[in-house]
Amino acid sequence: MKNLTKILLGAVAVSAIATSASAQGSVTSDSAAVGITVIQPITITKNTDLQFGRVIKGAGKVTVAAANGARSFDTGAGAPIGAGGTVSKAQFVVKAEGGQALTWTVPDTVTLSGPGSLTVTTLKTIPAVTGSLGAEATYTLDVGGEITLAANTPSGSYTGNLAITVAYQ
Amino acid sequence: MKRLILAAAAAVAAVAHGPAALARQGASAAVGITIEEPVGFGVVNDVFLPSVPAVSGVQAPPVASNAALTIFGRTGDAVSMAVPASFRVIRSGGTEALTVITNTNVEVGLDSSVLLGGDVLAGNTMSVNVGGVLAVASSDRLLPGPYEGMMVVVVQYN
Repeated sequence: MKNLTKILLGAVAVSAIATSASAQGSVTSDSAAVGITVIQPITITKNTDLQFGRVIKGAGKVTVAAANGARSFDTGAGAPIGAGGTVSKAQFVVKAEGGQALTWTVPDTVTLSGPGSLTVTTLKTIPAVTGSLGAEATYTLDVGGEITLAANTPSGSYTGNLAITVAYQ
Repeated sequence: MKRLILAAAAAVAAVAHGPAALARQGASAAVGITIEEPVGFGVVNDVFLPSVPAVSGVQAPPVASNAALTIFGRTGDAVSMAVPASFRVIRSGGTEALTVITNTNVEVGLDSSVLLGGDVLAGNTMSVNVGGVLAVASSDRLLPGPYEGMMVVVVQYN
């Protein structure tokens, strides 16, 4: 047993000398860490559209809140008032890898076309990063908006498109 | 050789497109609003009830007219108009009151109100007449004088 131990130690010593000799020659070696971070693809589901409903025309602002989707109006004589219709904030559900920084692109304005042209100023709060790597994170993006109507805004139906993108940074 | 390079480049582009799409996603939502002309009405005529002789045998000239209202709104939209089933007129300078029972040329009748219910405006205006019936019993001891009151009419989109 003692002999076997000596033989093994001798072999290790020979190996070390051989490596040293080689390093002093034309071959060098080093090492690099190898790693990969696998993250899941981003998915977006639209739950609701941004709808201001039916409004009796007047001069003033119509707002759909991003927080709760409630519609409100400027007050005062000649201001627009509500007349029913479907009212809702836009809502998107985004699923992504947890703990990863995301870039949210939500337009500041949306142009509506119809008998005339209207501009919607979007209202939104970009969600903060949540979760951690290794688990799916779910984000909810709510988008409301404001439209300022003029007394002479032509009546009729106006439509537009709110396009958003979400990307990993 | 050139073909090989092009083919290789196309393959790399195809591979790169896949992961890029997964790292960035887009979605869209519709945005809409419907703006309506305001609904309302204009008073063409008030309701005038005929003068009633306070003393038997004395005839007053009957000067009477129904109320004529013009509803205006957006063509093709349904509007409702609520008219009270009755309203009271009070003697000027006094407290004596009479009750006027209303009727209209488009009466539908709902509960205790006279209601124009959900008629669609063929044009952007619609005429409605509202008349009244004043029942005076011979036993009523009315004080002479003008009696006036207010009839409140409500018009709205359905």
